[in-house]
Amino acid sequence: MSRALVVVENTGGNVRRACLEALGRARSLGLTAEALVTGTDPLAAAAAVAPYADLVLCAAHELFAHGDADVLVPLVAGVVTERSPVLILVPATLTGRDLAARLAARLGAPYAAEVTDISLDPSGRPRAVRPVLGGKALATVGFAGDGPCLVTVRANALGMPAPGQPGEIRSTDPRVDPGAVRTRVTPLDEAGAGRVPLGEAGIVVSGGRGLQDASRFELLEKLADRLGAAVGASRAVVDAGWKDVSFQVGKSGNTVAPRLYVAFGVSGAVHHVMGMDGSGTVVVVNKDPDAPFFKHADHGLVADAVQVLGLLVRRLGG
Amino acid sequence: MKICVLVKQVPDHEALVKVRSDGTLDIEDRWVTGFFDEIALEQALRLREALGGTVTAVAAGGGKQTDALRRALAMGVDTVVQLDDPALILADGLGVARALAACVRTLAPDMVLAGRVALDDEMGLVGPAVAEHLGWPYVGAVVALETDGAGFSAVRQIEGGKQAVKGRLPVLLTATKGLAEPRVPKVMAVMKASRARIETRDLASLGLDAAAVAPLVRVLSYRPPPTRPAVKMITGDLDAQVETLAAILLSASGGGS
Repeated sequence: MSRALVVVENTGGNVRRACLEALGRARSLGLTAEALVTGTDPLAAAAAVAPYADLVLCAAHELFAHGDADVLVPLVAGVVTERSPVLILVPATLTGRDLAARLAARLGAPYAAEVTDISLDPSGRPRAVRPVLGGKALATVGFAGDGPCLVTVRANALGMPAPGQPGEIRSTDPRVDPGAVRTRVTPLDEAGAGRVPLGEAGIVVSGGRGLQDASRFELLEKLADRLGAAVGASRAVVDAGWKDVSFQVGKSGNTVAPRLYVAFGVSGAVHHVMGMDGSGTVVVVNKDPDAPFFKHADHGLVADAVQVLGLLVRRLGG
Repeated sequence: MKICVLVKQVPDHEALVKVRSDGTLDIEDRWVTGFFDEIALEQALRLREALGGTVTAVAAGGGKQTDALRRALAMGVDTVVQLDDPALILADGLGVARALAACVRTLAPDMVLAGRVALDDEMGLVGPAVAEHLGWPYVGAVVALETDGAGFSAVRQIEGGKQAVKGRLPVLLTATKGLAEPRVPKVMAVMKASRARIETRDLASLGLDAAAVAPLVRVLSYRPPPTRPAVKMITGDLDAQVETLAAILLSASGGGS
């Protein structure tokens, strides 16, 4: 049976949702689902992945602590040579996309970024669908040759598989050459750490200038905590300095596709909609009945966003 | 210090995009220089202003790519190079990266800056792939950068946080929002740039042939994104509206009441 290799990204034992979704899709395509888990002590992550995989390869080394591609690229390239997968899947996070791009160059392998669907053509060769031009069109892409194909997969696109009988966990040579490490990486403390990451959240609640004041984001955070959501922000809010750019949804920030997207006081300019139009249910609250966002929403409410947010938080409880 | 900036001209995000019935794209003829590329240009110019040296902008492709280089000149770069070769018309990101890497090698810079992603094909491939071809260290999605001409210290964005990355030059970094606010060129500079002669190079001059940039990924067809049904407006007085909204959120979020 042909194999797929999923390169797992995990932070503190938390496995990126897109990795499990990728394993599920590999299995549903009839491929053997193999996972590669790395870290200083990756056993917890390996155990979390095992119910979704046929085989979990576990590479332990202290230099895997911060996901440095200088050590990950040689490791994945080595595992690809050993396991000969037809398809390599990497989560479409910022670090995952950089890793995949470098791997593509290293392996000379065809690569498609941020795919939202994967299938096999009649000859068993992978095919992928990916949004382009800010989601204004979906491209179906094919891969040349008969070597491994590389994709990064967007979270919430492929569907979450059900866990099954855990696959075998096998340790593998980390293939680390400390001399190949050319940069020193240190994590920085970040406000909002601990909350579900914006890119893989199932629910996003987003705020715009209609919230009128930076302090109103505290209300939005309360709502986010109540719903288990991530907090997003419009470009105007980021440019005004109310929120860090890491919260921005849209063209120049994050692309998200949660099952529920709720926007308070966001007008819905093209550059914002480009970053969230792939979402499931979209709910827009804005006092301007002509706000362009209503054209991209399933449910609309014309009212003052601050007032509605306050009443909603009270109604739902903190 | 010698800096190269990789730039690309892309359709404006406001450009209308239609998918024709034969599965090809019809994109309105409105173009801009890559949003993140302009940030990379700005950062390069600021480093030159602080440390001296030169900034060279490089673009791959013919036609509209000239405009990206003219924009770079108007912003203030010293020189520009356009890789123009018929083989590049069909090339994918990996092919373009191979050509750009070969060009950068001839320019021998201390640092290469590029945008994090181009907002047309949205691959985010060229920057890291050029670094890999050059065998250089790479830092993506950079929001802060310092260098003394020998080493560098950068802050990069990762999912849900940031990392500090330190190393020695040469290095390739990709710029993201927050690194630097691009300057708006003066009218005189734009006019001067519009008349500048653009140096072009073909693949042969870089020791490459068409096979070196042959595409590995091919778009089989395009289709429009799924359309959303017309919006349902929540009506009633404010209390009733909030009640309805709460019910919609709880039902769509899968939570209890």
